[in-house]
Amino acid sequence: MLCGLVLTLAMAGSMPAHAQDKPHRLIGKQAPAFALKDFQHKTVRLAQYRGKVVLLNFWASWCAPCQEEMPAFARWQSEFHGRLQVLGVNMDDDLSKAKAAAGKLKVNYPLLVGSAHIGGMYGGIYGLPVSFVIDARGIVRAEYQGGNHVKELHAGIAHLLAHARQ
Amino acid sequence: MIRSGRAPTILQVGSHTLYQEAHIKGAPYAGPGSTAQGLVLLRKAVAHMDRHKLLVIYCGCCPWPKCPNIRPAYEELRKMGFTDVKAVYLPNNFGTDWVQHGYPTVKGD
Repeated sequence: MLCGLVLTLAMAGSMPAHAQDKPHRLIGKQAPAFALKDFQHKTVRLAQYRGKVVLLNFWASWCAPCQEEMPAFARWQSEFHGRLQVLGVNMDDDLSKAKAAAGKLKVNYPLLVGSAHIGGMYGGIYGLPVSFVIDARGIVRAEYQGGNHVKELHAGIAHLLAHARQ
Repeated sequence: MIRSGRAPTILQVGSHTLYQEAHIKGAPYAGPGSTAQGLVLLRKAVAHMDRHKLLVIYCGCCPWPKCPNIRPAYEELRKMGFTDVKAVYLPNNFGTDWVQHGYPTVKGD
């Protein structure tokens, strides 16, 4: 099994970064409730955002694709003010690195201290980035793995918000 | 590879948080390769090993071309004199390319 996957590093070419679909076990189900500390040590609960669409994004400072998409999330936080809440769950081993990265990225939404536990609650966060779109009733509507999903995420969020108005 | 009698030593050289969620059974944590502290851990993990032993490293934290850990870990091992170092090619990430294929994993430290 391992043989088929092992290559010498020298053979590594540039591969497209598209993530394959994984079994979306949480879609259509209530998003797992959590209470996590933010970077200012304040407790943030998912439940406090009921009534808004939530973009729950797992990220880390060492994850280049994460940092490519986070400026877009910050723009959406302003664009959909009051109707969308972006929450970033950080998966760094070293929080100081996460804080430094957040400062550079000028993130305008809560950044929460993640762990293997919260990753497990969301079906296993084994690689980054991973984002979940949760509707105003707290139901998981979409999951995106890997980068390069900014357009689809924006369209999905806009669709949910449009339907929420009706 | 294993049947040939060349059972490799497998090392995870990426994020410890992701390692705690799932890792290859029998693969100790030895990273992250992108940091000085991670490379210290890697050097410690292999310090007493035969330099001709087959070592397999993997990460899977991000899509392969964006992985910050594999290349520095690979280069460190080569610098230490290891002659047979391989990397597990995980094009998307450890979840998509290993866990979802049903390959065995364990949780925890």
